[in-house]
Amino acid sequence: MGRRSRWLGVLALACSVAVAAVVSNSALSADQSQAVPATLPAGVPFTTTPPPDIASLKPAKNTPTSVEDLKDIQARVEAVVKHMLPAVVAISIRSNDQIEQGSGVIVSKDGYVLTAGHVSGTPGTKLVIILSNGTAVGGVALGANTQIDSGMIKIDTDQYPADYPFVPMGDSTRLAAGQWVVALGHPGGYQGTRPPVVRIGRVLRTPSSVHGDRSRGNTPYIRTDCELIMGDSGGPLFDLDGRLVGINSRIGEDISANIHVPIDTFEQSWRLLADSKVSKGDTDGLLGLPKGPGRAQASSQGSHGSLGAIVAADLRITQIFDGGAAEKAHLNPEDVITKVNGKPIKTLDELKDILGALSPGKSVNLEYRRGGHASEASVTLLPADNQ
Amino acid sequence: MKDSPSATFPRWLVFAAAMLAGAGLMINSLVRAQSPFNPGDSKTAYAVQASFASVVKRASFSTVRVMVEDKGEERKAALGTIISSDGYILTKASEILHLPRVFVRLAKPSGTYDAKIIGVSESMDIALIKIEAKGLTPVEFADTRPAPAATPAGRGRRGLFGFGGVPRPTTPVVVPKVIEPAEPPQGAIAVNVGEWVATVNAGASEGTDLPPAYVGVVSTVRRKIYASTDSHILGVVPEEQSNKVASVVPKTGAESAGVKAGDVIVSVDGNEVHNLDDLHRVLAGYEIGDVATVQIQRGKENLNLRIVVGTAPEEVDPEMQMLSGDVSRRSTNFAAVYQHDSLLRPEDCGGPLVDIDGHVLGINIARAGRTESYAIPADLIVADIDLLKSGQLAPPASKTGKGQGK
Repeated sequence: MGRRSRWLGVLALACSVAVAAVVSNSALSADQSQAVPATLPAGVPFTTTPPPDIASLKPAKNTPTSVEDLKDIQARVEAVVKHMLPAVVAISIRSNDQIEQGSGVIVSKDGYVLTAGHVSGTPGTKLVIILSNGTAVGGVALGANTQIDSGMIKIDTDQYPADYPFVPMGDSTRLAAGQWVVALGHPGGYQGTRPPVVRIGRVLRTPSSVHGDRSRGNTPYIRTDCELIMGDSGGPLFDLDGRLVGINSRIGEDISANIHVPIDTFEQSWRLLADSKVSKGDTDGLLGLPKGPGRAQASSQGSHGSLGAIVAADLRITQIFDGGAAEKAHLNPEDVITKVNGKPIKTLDELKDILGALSPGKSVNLEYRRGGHASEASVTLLPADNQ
Repeated sequence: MKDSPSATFPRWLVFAAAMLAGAGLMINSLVRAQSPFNPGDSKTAYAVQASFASVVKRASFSTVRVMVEDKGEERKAALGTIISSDGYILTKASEILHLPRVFVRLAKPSGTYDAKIIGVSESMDIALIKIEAKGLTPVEFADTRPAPAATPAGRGRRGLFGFGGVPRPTTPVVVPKVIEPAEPPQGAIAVNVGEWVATVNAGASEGTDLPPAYVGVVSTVRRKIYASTDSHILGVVPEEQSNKVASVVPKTGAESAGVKAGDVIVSVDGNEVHNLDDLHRVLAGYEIGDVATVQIQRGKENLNLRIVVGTAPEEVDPEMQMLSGDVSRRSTNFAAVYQHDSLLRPEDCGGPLVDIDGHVLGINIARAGRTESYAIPADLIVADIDLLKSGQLAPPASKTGKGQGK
């Protein structure tokens, strides 16, 4: 197929099977409470605390220089695998004649599952979640960010009630190059009797080192040498404290090109994902807003209420929602809003004030900068619950 | 992919164009996936390998380089594991069979030594060869006998066809718990998922200390690897959502038994089959070689055919190959393996794999894909050494020169 040569750079890791054939926490980290956003959807139990069995082990050095050092790494890797493997899942979605398979990880006892956006796909899609002991349950896709490739799923706990095993969340902004990490997933798709498969590796590029260059499309990601292949999409990447720091996303041809979505992007857009929103654009805009209750307020009202976008403090659009007003007006992430209805604006508050006074159905003329060029668009505001 | 051709069955690893189409969004935004990094930060950094040097030192005196002459040229074929002081060596059979000359390089006494193949174990793909030498250092295998329930019984492979594939959701939900590794038998050592493993370099050939060739961790539980990662199949391709045969796969039990397109599969050993899902579920309980009595309706006739459950023919997708790099020519059909994530090269199979304490856990037998390498556990090897020496497992007669057994 002539198409093949174009895809050599990067390949997403969900795998699909044709149907005629058918068929399926450390001593290293500092203050934990700072690492975790304080705002979460109500009712989602959430932890950053790894099991004491892991926290009490000797820290692991990035560059071992002795067998002792190697044994310290080994002890942590074995402990992380032992405690976290129960929460690693395989995900199976049937659509038409295909079965798409990927992996995921449970992050709360009521069955929220993090995965890759290209695995969970369209919100509302029904899918099968296979627990690490081979038990299958049903679930549904929630939201996704298609640019970063984050996705969220909810196990249907009405039909499949249980206290699900879950993993503690970490802080991907604290990752350092050379740090040991462990990836799990179902390479090649789910195989009965084969539990999730472990790969060890080290962080080669951290999200901040990748994201430093803000040019178009360069969203933050983690690169490691944990070898991944199709089927591993959506599976977890853990640090040696046993905290979730990334979600497997895609690979390049080189054996060391294994790409994971940073967990912070999930944490920042948690509300959007849980509310089944599909968006694109990086989540950095939310960093412009204060952590804590203030941020929750800002993100749940106002700036994206009827525009269908998230706008950062510097008036840069950071996320565009599918089907929202901004998307219909052909606005893009990274566009910087300069004027509203001819009036120059300098702060996000000014933008919110103007938009907040307008009812759905009203149009505004937005002037914006894209790349070096000035442009404008007429945006018809939609009702907030249309997003 | 509804009309999958009957002539070729893709391995589970073959991905439909649909997958790539779904990946369309990703490619533009991640062109920078090949961003540069500091090699000292990788798991293959020299500093990491060097820290294993003392771990592999002992076994390296029992590890040799095995060479072959192939089409007039000499090349590396495998590593070898010395098991006697007078020159019995174990290595990977499929890399050395049907070639005009197999030989081993030694440092002490220095030279090349022609090898004779004494025996071949099909189930392990291990060959016993013999060179005429003295004073070699035989390897000490660890006792790797697993706890009785440790090796999973059953399929361990995924469904292209016929395999149970994706289980059905069930209630009540049995939630996974943290698994404490089982105690191995008295005197045996445990091999835990997540533990370090190191591939020993050919110290006996180089005459010097070498760091390990590769390091990695044990990736999953010890398990059997089937002849093909495809499933058990009868060899029928049904029409969509039905139990009517659209086509029959060549070289399968269904073809041999005379199944024809248009036949309707009514039941398999009494289990009713209405569609492909039913067929999968039923066949999940079968082993390769089992004979199933399949009730067929052909027009007005009712037939009972005895069909041997087999495997789909192997096919390698070029794209998967590209992403996997070099894999061994035989990477399936092993009685049991330890799977690890070392970046083992095919020509470096056949030598010992050790744990962090230097225990020889087994012999590397294959690089099977981008994410997996396999080693045959020591206890299985030890159990067959006498048989290999006896001459009863002398190598198969050469046919086409390909190293594959059956």
